[in-house]
Amino acid sequence: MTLLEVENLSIAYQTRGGVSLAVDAASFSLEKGKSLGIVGESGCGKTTIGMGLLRLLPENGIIQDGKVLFEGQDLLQISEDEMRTIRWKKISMIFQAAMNAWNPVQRVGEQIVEAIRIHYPDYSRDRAVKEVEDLYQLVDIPRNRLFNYPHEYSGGMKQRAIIAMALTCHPDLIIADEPTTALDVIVQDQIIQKIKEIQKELSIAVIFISHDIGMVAEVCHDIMVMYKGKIVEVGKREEVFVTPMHPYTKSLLSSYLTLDGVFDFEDKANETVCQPDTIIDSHICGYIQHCQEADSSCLREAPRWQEITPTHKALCRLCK
Amino acid sequence: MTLRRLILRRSLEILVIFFLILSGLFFLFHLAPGDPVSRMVDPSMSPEDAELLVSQLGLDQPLWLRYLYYLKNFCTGDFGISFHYGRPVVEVIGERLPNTILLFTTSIILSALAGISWGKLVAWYKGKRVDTVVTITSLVCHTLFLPWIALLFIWVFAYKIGGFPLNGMISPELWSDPASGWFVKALDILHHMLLPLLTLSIIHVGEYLLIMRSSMLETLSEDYILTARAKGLSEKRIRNRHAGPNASLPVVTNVGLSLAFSINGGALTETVFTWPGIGRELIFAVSNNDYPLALASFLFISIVVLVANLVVDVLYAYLDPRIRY
Amino acid sequence: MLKALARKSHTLERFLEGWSLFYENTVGRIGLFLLLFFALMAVCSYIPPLIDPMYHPMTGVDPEVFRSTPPSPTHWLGTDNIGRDLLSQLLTGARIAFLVGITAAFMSIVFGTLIGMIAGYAGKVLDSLLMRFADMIMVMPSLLVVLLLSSLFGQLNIWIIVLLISLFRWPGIARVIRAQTLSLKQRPFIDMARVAGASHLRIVFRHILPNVLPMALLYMTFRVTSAIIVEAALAFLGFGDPNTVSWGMMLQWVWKTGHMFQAPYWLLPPGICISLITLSFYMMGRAMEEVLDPRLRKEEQRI
Repeated sequence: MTLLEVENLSIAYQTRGGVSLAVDAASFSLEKGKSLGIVGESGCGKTTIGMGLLRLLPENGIIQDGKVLFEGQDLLQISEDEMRTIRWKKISMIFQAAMNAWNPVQRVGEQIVEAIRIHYPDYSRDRAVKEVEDLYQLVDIPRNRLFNYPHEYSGGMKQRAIIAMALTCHPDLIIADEPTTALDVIVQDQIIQKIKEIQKELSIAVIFISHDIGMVAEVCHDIMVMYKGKIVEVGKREEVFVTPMHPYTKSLLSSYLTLDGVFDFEDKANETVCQPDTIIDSHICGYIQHCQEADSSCLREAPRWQEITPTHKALCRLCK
Repeated sequence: MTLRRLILRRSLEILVIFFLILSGLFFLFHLAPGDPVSRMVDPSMSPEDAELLVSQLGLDQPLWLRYLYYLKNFCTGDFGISFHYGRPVVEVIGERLPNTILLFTTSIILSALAGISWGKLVAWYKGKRVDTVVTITSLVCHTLFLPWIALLFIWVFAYKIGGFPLNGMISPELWSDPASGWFVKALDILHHMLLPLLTLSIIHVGEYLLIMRSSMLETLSEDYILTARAKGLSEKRIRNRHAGPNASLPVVTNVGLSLAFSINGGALTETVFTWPGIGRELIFAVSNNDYPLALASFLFISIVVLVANLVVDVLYAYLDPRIRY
Repeated sequence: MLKALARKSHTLERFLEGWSLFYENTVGRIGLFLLLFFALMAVCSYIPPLIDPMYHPMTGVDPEVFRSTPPSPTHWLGTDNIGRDLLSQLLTGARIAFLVGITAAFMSIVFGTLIGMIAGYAGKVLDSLLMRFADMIMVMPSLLVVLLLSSLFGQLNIWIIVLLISLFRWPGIARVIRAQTLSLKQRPFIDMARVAGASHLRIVFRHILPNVLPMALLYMTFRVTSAIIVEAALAFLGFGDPNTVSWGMMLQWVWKTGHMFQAPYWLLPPGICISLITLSFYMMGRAMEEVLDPRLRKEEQRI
């Protein structure tokens, strides 16, 4: 059953220099209980998609076009009040570890209890606390740390507490935005395993946003690769990971594989971080400058979606 | 660090600072050109009385001994006799100090509360007309020249419109009437206090509002505000529960930092409204060359500022748990 | 040579960019225009005594006037109780305000910057000594201290007042500059200079000073306002320099001679001028702060 269906979502930012498109006509869907990974370099628009789904864009962000159908309801059409009841109860978030996602002057437990009691006003405080305690057990934080302040937690604990908070209202979908960046490798692994475990156990759908394709491949059923605001390749984990089609995906994968030995300077050079203010030219392929397979036809014609299998497709004229 | 240790440490620091001020004043008074004896002894005193006082204050001793006498006298609360009042200085101070504390703390607390709650609202309407109008108004209020605005208030509210007393803190006829109870008396003080309070507060509200506004704007771009939004909290709840408390921290810091400057304003307000406080007493004593009174008034004003600083520090630690541990 | 030119043009560019940002800022623009108005007043203050000696702000007395008179063709703003021209006093007041404000602010900036840089750069004992000293001065109400000193040293002239104000208003700046110096000290270019054999003095003045200067200048505009206020308050309380006419003194005269209820034409202008000149410096300071501090004008972006 389809849980989330995104059609033609375009999001732009209003800046001093004009309007710049951050997400260009993105379409994808997600089944109930499945997980989707969105991969791309920083600035490619992946976080913008995540925030756009919850309508939490910064003030200068504009959703220009598209539909976000969640359980058949278009989230872009409902009122702000209705949207508030969706947030956290239906769709919750796991924030970037590097962010100060916790209010520094409130106790952590208090902030989680708040999330519960906003959506279940009839819950007593004790009941809410009880529930948070259970969640703490689930994410392996000692119960007596519940009412500590955020600065008394270690980085990994903060992140696990955020996971606990994301689960409080039994959401159908969790958006995990770079949940492990800035954590050390061992903690990273623990967090990933935890999310994976919880996802399986509670069968919650997860959108996993990361720049690390290897990590995404470990957790997600489907992978979606983004480049400069566009989705360039979508497919099942095995399909994208084993037989990447888009040249950009290939380069992403090869830079991931270099960890196992061969270090490829040329691929390293290919990775350029696209600036947020780059205005995307929607006519020709955005990757053309760095593409080693591009030929002269790429300069003239717009890239087209090529279907490799029913579930695997790529936005490139050249892949067959 | 626990709260108690913080208080202990800050109190120690404050004691050191106060000791330095105390000593600094001594050396100023005794090393400034002129005769220190004539500064501490009323010229209209009889020679015998004067001699007694000189030996009591140790003024006939060498400098270092005089300093010890001075410290000892301070500890025993002996500040000499006021030239003007002809009474022990400590008595005069004891009468004036509560009045100053009443006016000053009420004004600071009220203006901080008003500045914080209004600044919070204004930041929410950033870029709208309300925001521009309030920001400019606060700038103007903050830079108003205090004695002038005090005179203006007296002229407009007490003289033109009427209904407010021109000066003082109490109505003598009401207080000498045995029939008036404490409630009437309290109301009388409040009636006298309104204009000075308004004057002193108008300057501070502007300042605190501006700080709160910009701190609120900064806080609103923090990550935990995004968390609060994602949690589905209402805008009002985000503003009052999450952004507000964090944003008010810089206001508290600033209240502490500008206390010394605020007490200048307090003294001016007291003088113009003839509010019988310690700041007015200092200005009066300086004008009349009543040195013992001036010295002691200044010392007690310093104590007020230092203690208020300590209170602000403790309040800050209470509001921000990161300081406490 | 070319390099120097390029650097110069770069500085110029940055200056122009800053200027345009400043000018775009409504608050800054209002402040600037107000300030220009007061500067004009200060310049014009030389004119009235030239027209007729009776317009001299201190000694000029209109022989036909025996009490305070409202505005008239001969005295556009009226006269005080002994027949001196209020307009010419008001104009002179602008000159005094600038003089006091700018010199006192400049001196306190010099003290504050020097002490802040030394404390931050030297660190250890000297740092904590200087900062404790700063703490001590910070809790002293500057107006009341100056009052107390004037009671000890007798009548103060305007330059002593300026010096005293600046002596009591440096700690705030020193703290900010110290914090900046501490963070600058961590930067590689300071280490490089040290390795290259630069002396401490050279490091402080050639490498640290240029970097903390913008912040110091910013604080100077705020100090101007507080210096003007302290001087005006002193004069208002009757402790000003008796040989100068300042706005605070005009207010003192109207207050002490009991004209505050009868002579609004005398009560209003000096107060408005003091309030507006401090407002104009304050507004300029705020606008400069926004130009200098990128955090205040950042555009939110999240991709």
